[in-house]
Amino acid sequence: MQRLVEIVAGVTNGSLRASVVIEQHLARIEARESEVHAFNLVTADQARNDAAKIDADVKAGKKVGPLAGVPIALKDNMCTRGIETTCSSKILQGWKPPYDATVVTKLRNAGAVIVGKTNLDEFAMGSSTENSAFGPTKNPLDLSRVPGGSSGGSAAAVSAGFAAASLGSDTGGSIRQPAALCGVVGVKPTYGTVSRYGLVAFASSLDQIGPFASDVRDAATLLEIISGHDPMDSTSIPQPAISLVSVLDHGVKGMRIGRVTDLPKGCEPDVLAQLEKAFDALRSAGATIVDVKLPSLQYCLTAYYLIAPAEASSNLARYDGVRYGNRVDAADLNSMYAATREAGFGEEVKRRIMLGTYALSAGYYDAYYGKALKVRRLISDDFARAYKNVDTILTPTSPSVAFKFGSKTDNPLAMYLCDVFTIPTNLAGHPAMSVPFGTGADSMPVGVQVLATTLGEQAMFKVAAELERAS
Amino acid sequence: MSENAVLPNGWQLVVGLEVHVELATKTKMFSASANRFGDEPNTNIDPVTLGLPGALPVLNKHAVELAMRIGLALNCKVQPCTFHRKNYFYPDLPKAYQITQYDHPLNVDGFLMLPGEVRIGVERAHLEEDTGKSTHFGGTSGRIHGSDYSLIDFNRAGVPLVEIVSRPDIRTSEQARQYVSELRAILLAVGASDAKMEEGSMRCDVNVSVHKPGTPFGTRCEIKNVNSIRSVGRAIDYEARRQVDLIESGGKIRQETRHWDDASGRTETLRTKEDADDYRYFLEPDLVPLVPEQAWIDAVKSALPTLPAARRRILAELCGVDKDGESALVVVERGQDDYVGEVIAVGGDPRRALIYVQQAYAEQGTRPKVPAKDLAALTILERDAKVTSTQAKTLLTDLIEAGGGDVVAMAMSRGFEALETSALDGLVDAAIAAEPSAWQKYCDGEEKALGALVGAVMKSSKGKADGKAVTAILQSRRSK
Amino acid sequence: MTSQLAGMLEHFRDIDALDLAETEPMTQPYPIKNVLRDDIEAESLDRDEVLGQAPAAESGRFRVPPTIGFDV
Repeated sequence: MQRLVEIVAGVTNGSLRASVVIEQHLARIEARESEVHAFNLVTADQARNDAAKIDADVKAGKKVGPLAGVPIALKDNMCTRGIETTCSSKILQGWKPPYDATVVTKLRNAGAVIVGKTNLDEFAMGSSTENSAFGPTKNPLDLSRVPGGSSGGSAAAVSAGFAAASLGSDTGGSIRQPAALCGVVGVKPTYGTVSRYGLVAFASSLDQIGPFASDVRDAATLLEIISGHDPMDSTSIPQPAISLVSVLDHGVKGMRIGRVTDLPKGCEPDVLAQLEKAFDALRSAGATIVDVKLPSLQYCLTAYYLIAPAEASSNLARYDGVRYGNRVDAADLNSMYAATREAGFGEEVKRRIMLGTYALSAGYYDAYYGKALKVRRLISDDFARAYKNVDTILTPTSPSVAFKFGSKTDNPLAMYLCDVFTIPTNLAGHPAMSVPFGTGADSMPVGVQVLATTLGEQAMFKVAAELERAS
Repeated sequence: MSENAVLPNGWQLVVGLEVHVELATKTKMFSASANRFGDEPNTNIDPVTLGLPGALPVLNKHAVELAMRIGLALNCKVQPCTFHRKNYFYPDLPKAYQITQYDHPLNVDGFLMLPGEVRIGVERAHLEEDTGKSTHFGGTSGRIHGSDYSLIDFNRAGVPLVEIVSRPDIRTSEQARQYVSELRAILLAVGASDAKMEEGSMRCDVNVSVHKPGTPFGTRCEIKNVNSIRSVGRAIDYEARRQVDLIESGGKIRQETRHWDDASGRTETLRTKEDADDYRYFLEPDLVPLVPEQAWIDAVKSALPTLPAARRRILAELCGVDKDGESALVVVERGQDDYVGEVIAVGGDPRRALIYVQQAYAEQGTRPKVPAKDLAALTILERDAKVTSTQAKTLLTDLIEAGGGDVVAMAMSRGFEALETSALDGLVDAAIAAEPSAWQKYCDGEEKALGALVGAVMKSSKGKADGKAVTAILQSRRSK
Repeated sequence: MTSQLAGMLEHFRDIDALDLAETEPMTQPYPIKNVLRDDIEAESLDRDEVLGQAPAAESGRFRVPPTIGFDV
């Protein structure tokens, strides 16, 4: 399978035809999509048209963009004008947005070929894609196992070669965890570096869009293109995209890598073993390993599962059947609201809305949401102290390799624990990425997570590139 | 304070007003579709306005500017502020939450002066967004209850609002009307809004309670659907009476929201406190804090125009009248005070200039056609008794119709000339002789008899005698 | 569902152990302020495209069942 950067180079210099590239990807989709179910929608015809146009432009000597001809899949919670965007929920089934998300506009302007909308846990709430209203996505490496979530479809699409790269969204680990479970690279950038305009909101102060790719260079290339200030997003950092590809060959000599000594328990030994090997590799490459303590880590799950549902309960209130989406008719308005949302939302979504409503309600705000915001400050301060002594931190991405379907669906709390290593960076607004590093139990891939401080993407990618070289 | 007499048995009225003002911006508070009244339904819409999935708000700079003008004109402190979400379900609320300001609003701790040096505190004036508009069909009155369905237009959704909350310092319905009227004048003066209650660009919610002085404030009721300044007064008068009657008959006031029905002149229960929503306010994560720089605040403040109260004071001082009186109020309201100032500047008689403008310039707008010097000349003619007051009135009409002119020539062509006082003496003699019984009665103290004597002089002079001068002569003759 | 929620809320009480009196809440990951937009009109969305996606529409507006028990 070709790398993103190879495709761009080939298409741009004419040695590769975009229409050939897209056919190759569509053929792989044809072969395996029925068993993997990475997509809610494959936009084959449109993709072929887009590819043909790129080829025509190249032939005519016109300039093409930095993603020319690259087949890219988009998580189905990003608005694509005129193309169904469902968030894998019945309530939005059939809805076609009248506008494009900023990242979609950027991809199109860069010449990318959008190959389809990928499956997710409904409204991005989940860690296995089992919460999709349209059926789960299967891990392409072992169809009896989950691909992770919530961006399971985007991770699987890259893992299975359906797309050269894809975009997902990460609120508590929804890019990094599926990346680890599917054996691909997944990046959550610093909060505010990639526009959220057009990303269907789950938890506004935590959500970020990021890339999945087969390797670190592809991920860096894609991330550079989708990053940068957007005036349509008030939380967008007023800065241009950080240069990433340029630092990939710098190595890690002299860098200080943090090892968290008070990591929450529950990580499987096979995963921990790979983490140790990762530390060894970095040490061999000239980095120093430094112990760091993050005492508030143990409270992050609680803080997250109060803050995220609280914001989500408000963000999802707009799905009331009035202006768009599927409505269940009733004799009066209140009944219509209730029936529409009862039928349209799945169990996990309902659970989180209830949790969030409770956390914000009068009399409970201080005890729950208010306190959670303070815990958020604590973890942010913990990280700030740690980053005085280190450039990046290394942890496992997921506590285990990809697990079997149904093994965590009975106990929501067990599912929530999948995100124990990824959640802290969302709370702090920091960047983090998962890099495949060997295999663990049952030969399933293990991902190692590289964390950096706010806008520390360059340090993060240097370490990731080194890990990739060593893996 | 005369309206206090409306409430019997020593009950005191306490009123607070919440006024929502639509700002005169080109675009909405958080998105760039047009802020325009009267367009075809749902033609000023965008992802933010419709609360589409993925939409994000971005604050309108001009809305902030206008909001600061309002705050500064109301003597508020402008401070760093944040935005909150107010969550509730309603079909004209597209996101199922309204973005507003909660614990840190833009403007706080101001006041507004009413006539008679009455100071009404302004607690806050904060930014928020308007909702769409629902129209109800199928029922009998166009109101919700009993309707079959509703249609929603989102053109108004997202229009920038400032909510101005007064302290409960208002004590009479007249003060409430004055407050709304003065607030409106200020909004127009600073260009923040066209403040048309009939179009909904200015909306009042009235909070009313009653108590006996020296006791704590009573339970208050909020009254909605008060759509004119007159209704503000009527609604308060009705509600205050209702509350007093209820308490005096042994009942308790329930804290509730009531609907004002202008046709029947009554308030009705809309929603009780028990039904009130928990709005689950929390900081809006899609927006960032607004911290206006001192330089910006200072620039807005120094660019504020002279406000109506100050204009009335200046005009009143110039003309020697009461600043809270009718003439100052009317002339400033019409925006004709600058014109009066011009008339005086070119030598016109101040009091007469004010009166002429007040009485005859209702249709003239802010730029009257009659040149200031022409009106000044007329005031001088009357002041110097070259024409009588009646003659002056006629000449004023002529001037306005002609859009100006040489008043002396106009007076001559009409054959107007006030008679000199010496000529008047002779006419007065003749009148006394012609009306001896009237003269006797007048000398005995019957003031009414004056009329017959003055009338006789007017008749014999063919209207050229100045009535006031004649009266003065008769008075002085009597006292001799 | 409610028992699961009750269980979760019980679990979340672990943060009660923390002394947070002196801690400021963190609402923003990155300290930005004063993001403002010029008051310049942009083209409206196409009404037909939008109403075409509405569950019920009439006379250019969104149609909903009657609202019982709400205020005006």
